[in-house]
Amino acid sequence: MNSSVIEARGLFKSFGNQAVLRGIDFDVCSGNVLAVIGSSGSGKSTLLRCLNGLETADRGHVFFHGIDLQARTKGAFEAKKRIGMVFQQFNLFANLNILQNCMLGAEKVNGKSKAEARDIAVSYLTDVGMAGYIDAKPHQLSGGQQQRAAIARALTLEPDVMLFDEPTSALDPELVGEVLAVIRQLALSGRTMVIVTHEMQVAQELADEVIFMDDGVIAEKGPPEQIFSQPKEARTASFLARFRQGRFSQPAP
Amino acid sequence: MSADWFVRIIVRYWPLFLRGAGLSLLLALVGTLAGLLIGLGVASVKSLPPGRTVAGRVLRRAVNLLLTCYIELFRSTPMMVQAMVIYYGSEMFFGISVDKLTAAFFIISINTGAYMSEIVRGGIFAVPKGQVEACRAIGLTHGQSMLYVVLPQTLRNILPATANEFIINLKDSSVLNIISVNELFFVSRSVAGANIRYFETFLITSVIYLAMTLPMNRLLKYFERRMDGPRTFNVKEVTG
Ligand SMILES: Nc1ncnc2c1ncn2[C@@H]1O[C@H](COP(=O)(O)OP(=O)(O)O)[C@@H](O)[C@H]1O
Ligand SMILES: [Mg+2]
Repeated sequence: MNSSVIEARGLFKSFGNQAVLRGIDFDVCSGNVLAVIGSSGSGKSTLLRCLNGLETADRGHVFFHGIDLQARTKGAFEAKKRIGMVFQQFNLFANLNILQNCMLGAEKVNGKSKAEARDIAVSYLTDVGMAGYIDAKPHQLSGGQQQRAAIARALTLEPDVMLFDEPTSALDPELVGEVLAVIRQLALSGRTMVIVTHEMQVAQELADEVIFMDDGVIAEKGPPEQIFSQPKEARTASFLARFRQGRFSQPAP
Repeated sequence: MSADWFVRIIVRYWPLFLRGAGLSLLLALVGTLAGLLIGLGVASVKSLPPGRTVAGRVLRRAVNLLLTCYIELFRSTPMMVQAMVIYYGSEMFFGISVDKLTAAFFIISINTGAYMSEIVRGGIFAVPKGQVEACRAIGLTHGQSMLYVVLPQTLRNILPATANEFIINLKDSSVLNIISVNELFFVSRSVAGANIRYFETFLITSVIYLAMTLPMNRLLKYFERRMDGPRTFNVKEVTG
């Protein structure tokens, strides 16, 4: 009953002579949350960027509802519009206010009228608790507020899947909560998501499946209960152990 | 030298000075704006994504090479020399005799365009890459992301440099006296020569140039504030 929204098949990607992705396969089923964990430099961002066409894999395919995103076809271009992306650094458009940031896609990409685009923008900004800030320019807001607006911006395109690349890593610790609350709400409402995160607690709580990446390959894949309490691979165990020792949040026992 | 001469020159020649100053100002204004447009065009073409087909890539290379030649040629030779070559060359080689005023506007524009191309390129480069990726992520085309996100920020980034170009143009329009354009320097030279009063005349000329260039700083600050928009925002009451 759960159909695949995204199928990654045999992804390879190198930058120069550095192999960053070395054969990646996985599926994301409709309504599921996939969490990607792994140490810095293991290729998580590159993987996520391959999923929405910001990078093109050297080999392999990404299928979105069966459409090959690597193909340079109109279908692939249209399909990419239905994949939302949230960046570590928010990447709001600095020249536009929050409302304009969220209207641009609906208006120019989805062809809505100004009034419709505005309604859509305001509705998603309300969902993330940012409706009061529509007149603000990005630099006038805190990181947490910017990230919530960036999530609203991605949602205005009514994507079938949302990709998050360490959405809370650039935030001051006290601002992490408000962004996670929005992400949690999205996950619980049944959105299909892929989230790269260092928040193990979030991965454990929200994910239907967890991928542990190490050196360009999926070292281990499984349900969160298993990955976090009985990792099969030594690499996974040592990564998690390093994490628990560190200053990062611990998964609840 | 006597104060007397200042008064006499001003009283007698002020309409001439005024017209000369007006033309200098117009040359600088048109030159800077046209140069800005040229710069936006050249830099936009140079920042196009690489072609997908072999033919497309070859064409891109050729166009880029041509644009680089244009930029380097005009940045590496004095405008005075360019004026001579273009003004006399156009007649000699193409048989078109452009009037000197048209030539002057053309020369200052194309010369400024060469500098502005590099300035705009820097301004485009200064727009954070992440925002361009966000454009792609929401499905905007390259043209749309340039239009709505990159170029507006580029314009803001290059505002000070553009104002600087304007000041340079205001002063450097004086070299166009070489093709007998009635700008301020040319007028001043005629006045000075007619009365054999060089110092007095050119002191007046200096004051006029100063009066035109000094307000630029304030004008720049004004435009910067306008482009930046309000410093604060009001949190809206959220209802419903
Ligand atoms: N555009 C690029 N050019 C060259 N190397 C890159 C580029 N993007 C990423 N890399 C390299 O690829 C590796 C994996 O990067 P990344 O996918 O960002 O890892 P992660 O998100 O897991 O930290 C890193 O060593 C990084 O330096
Ligand atoms: Mg990363």
